[in-house]
Amino acid sequence: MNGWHGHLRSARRATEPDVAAVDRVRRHALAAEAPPDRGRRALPWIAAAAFAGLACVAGWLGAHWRGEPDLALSETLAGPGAVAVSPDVRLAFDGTGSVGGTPRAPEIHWTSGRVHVEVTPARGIALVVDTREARVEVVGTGFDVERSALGTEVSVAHGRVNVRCADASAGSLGPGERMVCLPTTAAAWMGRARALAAAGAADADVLDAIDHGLARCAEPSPELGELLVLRLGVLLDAGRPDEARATAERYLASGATERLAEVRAIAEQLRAR
Amino acid sequence: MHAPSAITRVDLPAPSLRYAELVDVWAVPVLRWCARLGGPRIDPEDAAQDVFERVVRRLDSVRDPATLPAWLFAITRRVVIDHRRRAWLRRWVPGSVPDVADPRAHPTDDADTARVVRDVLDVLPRDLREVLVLTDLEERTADEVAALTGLPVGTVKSRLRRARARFEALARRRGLEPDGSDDGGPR
Repeated sequence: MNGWHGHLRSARRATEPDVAAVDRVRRHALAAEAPPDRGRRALPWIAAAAFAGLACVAGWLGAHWRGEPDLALSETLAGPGAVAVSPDVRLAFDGTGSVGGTPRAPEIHWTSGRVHVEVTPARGIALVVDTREARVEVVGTGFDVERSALGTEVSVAHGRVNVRCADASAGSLGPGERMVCLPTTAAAWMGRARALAAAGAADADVLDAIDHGLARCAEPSPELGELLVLRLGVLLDAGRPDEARATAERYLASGATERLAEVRAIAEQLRAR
Repeated sequence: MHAPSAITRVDLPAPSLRYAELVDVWAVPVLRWCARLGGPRIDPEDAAQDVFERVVRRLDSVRDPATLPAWLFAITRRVVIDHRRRAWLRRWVPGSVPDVADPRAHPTDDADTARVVRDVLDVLPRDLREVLVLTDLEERTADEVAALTGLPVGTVKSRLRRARARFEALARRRGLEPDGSDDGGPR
């Protein structure tokens, strides 16, 4: 970064760990070592990473799959990777999920990350992708489903998909179109609020996500306390002390204990204003 | 997928990763990451110790030693996020954080400059802070940062452009002006 290099060097020097700190961290780290677990077996697996490789697999499968369209599928996916569910259904993914159903009607249950799905049109394949927020039904198309802290985003490369969100919203998407299904649980809304805050979103958007989460919280619950702490911090940062005080009082009344000492100290400070 | 040999499953031989050697090699880089990504409100030693507590529990899951740097960085990133969240609210608790110098005053010496730079880094969004620290403080190439963070090289470069622009704007607002240095060209 031209023009700022000298300042950055200052910061680099200031954050260079000293010998004593390194020694303390090393000693603590070595003391934390547990005896090796000889009984545990790792079960890693990798899937082909490229569609070029998939084409070969799909070709092989084409020779062996005919006549077994109703065979039950059951496979866990953890990427990055790529698999051919059948000659007509190919997935490339970077995330986690699983595949069930049958080769004619595969069901992809997607947990996190992105999965790209290609379905050969006009083969009578009825594929479904579902996440906690969305259900995507396709017949012959290419599309992406990405599940992150912000929700589930469906984007269509070609063909058409029908999307139904868990909050009852729905849409039919064509090429180039996208739709986001929002979170449905308090924990997921908290994840969305944190992701928005980390991305520097407007306070109003972060607070909106927090309030959606609070509306779904059981009282008491771990999520309630965390959402209230998050709300308190955003309001303090935004310079809204009256709302911050109300949030702190609500936290203190909720029975949450995780950040009790800090919230109590902040509430006292706000009361004294 | 249920057909015989439809999906490739490969059990890789376990690499020989001796924990003590790992600690020797990685204590300093992990401490640096904790200090530079965690910002002035967290204790980098506490964070680094938490990192190695997680490492020792999960080291068996690393199949390929070549993935170790990225794996360590991912753990450090999660630990730093946890520590930053805890520190985020504590700053409002009276007496719990040291006074910060008036950011509007012009820095007068190296320590002040370093503090302003760290404060600016601290308020950058996490994804921008990471690429800026790894590239401009730790002088890694875009390819090296991509390998460490798991991001495409193009994403690293675009985030770095945004990070540098945001850094410059925030630094100027805090009274820091460019020092006129030349880093020798783009990385």
